[in-house]
Amino acid sequence: MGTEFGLWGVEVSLRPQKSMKRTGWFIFFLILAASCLDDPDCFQLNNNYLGVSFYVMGSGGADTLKATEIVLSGASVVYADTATSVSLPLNYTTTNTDIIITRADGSKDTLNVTYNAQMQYVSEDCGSRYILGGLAVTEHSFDSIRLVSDVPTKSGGTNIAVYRCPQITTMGLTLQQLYISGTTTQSATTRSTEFNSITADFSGEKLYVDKTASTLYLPVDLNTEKTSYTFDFADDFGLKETVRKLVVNYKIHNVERYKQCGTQKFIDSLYIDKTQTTFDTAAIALDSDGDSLSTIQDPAVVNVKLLRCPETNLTQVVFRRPNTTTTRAIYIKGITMNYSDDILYAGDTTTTVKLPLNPDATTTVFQVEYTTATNTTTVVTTIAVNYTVTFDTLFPGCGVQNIYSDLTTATNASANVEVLTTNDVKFPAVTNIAVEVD
Amino acid sequence: MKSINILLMVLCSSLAWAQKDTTAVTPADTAKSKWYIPTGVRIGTDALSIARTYYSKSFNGWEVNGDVDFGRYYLSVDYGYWARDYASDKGIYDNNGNYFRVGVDVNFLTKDPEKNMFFIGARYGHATFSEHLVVEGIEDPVWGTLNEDLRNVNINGHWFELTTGIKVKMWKFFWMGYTARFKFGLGTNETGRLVPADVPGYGRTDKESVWGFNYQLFFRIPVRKSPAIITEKDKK
Repeated sequence: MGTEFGLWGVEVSLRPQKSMKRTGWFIFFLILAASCLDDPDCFQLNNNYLGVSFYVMGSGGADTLKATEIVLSGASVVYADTATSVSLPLNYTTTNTDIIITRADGSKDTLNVTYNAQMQYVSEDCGSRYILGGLAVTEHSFDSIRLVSDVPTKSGGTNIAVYRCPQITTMGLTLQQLYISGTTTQSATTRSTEFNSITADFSGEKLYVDKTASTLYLPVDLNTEKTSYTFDFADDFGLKETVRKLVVNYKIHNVERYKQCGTQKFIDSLYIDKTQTTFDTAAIALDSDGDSLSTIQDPAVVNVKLLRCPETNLTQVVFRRPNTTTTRAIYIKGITMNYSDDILYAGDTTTTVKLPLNPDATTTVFQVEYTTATNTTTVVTTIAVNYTVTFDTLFPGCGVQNIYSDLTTATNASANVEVLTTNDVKFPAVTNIAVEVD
Repeated sequence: MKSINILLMVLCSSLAWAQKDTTAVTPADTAKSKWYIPTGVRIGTDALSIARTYYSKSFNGWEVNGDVDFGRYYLSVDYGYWARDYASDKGIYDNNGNYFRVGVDVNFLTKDPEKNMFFIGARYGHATFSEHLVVEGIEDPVWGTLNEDLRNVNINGHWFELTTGIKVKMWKFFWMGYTARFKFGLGTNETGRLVPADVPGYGRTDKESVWGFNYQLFFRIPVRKSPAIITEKDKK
């Protein structure tokens, strides 16, 4: 007696069979399990955060807010940092919050918002939550804003996009090191460089005084279509003269692009005046599509590359234990050369050194004075090598450079000095010479 | 969560659509004659509501259920009362109200001579309820101490349900069954600052859909004799 029905071919009977009971229990426990997943999460219940993102008009990129203080409805204070967006807690006990942002330069902006604030019970563990919505901007002092979403968030997200007028005043430069990767591939990598100062000649303002940087942002002269800069390097940046000149020319256009901003100056057609520039390798940078970045932009982009030519005469020496490839650190008192009075690596503790070969000879002799952790007696090792010098143009901007190859041990070298099979000087340097240290 | 809901509904539907009759045959003239005249009225109650009222400190409620058959279709009506009472150091919340549901079930065991049911149906639900929330002395790191005392009085909520379940004759007039409810489309008409947290008959409001479950005990009052069903066995 009873009707049978099946689940995908499996026959079960409604009454009075066991299989129906199993089906019923199966569904019951599935529901029970599903209901357990409904337990609320107590983390960040209130959606009372206002996301404000900063942009520059006409630019797809984000603007950086450098704020020293953000005041919310008078009493509450948030000390901000440098950011492209901020998430500000709205006062959910009322329906409006007044925001005052103080920038690093002392300027202030205000933003007043209103919203609905409702409350909902969540659970005994979590308590209640505030639900905010209907966000509207009643007043602001920014150049322009856009309401992106009228529902405040629990964290992150953007409710209001703030736009400021572009300020075309700054050119970006990057400092890079040229080298050969592999055997022939030419490459460049960003290089941090120490400066005594960089002077914008039109204003006399000294920038980056005693600073180390790899990317520079320098002001351009908006009164003439030319700006010159004087670079005073603390390190030599691969140049014989540590003071160099960069001169850029450009065109200035007076245009009203945005009503809120009025007539503004825009700069394009940037190029390097190579007749006055004393960098060997200054060039206009290219974007990812290979197009020239000859327009000054806000936020600033890297418009100019200053490239450091490779030092082609650096041979690398490794200090290692006898008859092994295990390196050994030595305490260097000094390394002298037979063609210069310079003393290299004095006071350093290291396992490798890079030593400059004499570009005007085919033999160079180095005297290395050192001690070790186990032997405090000063040891002097003579590294004397012969080599072949040829001439080649590795990089067009660097001109013809000396190429050093076929290093061999000179007769006056110490017995513990060995030239390795990798006996050609590379850029960057590779280990050519090994010194065995007891 | 949605995927689980859908899985359950599909599972239940599969049970029904895979139905095949192996024992009973109903002559066309018998089955069609006066099929729309009810054969009985079932009246019952939800045992789970009674049990929860007894065992749970935060719930108090009851529910009565009734249905009447029109062939394989059943008009189903539920009426109930539901009150919640939560208290902790983070606040006090209570609500109470009445609700009803009305809808239709479709029985997929049309050939069962005892009129046992495996059904899928739909409901419209409506509740009238009040609620009260008190929050005192909650500290916010930015905005200080929070104190709130909010009420909603006699507000309405309405929603829709998809249902499935079984109802089985146990002994003479006594029936048992269960109903699983997939509830969705909740709307409430509050105008104040308090957003409803729990609607009688529906449940928690912070999800787009919720599940409900009833285990029901029925007493069936027959009003006329069911049309005869001739089985294969009878034929032989």
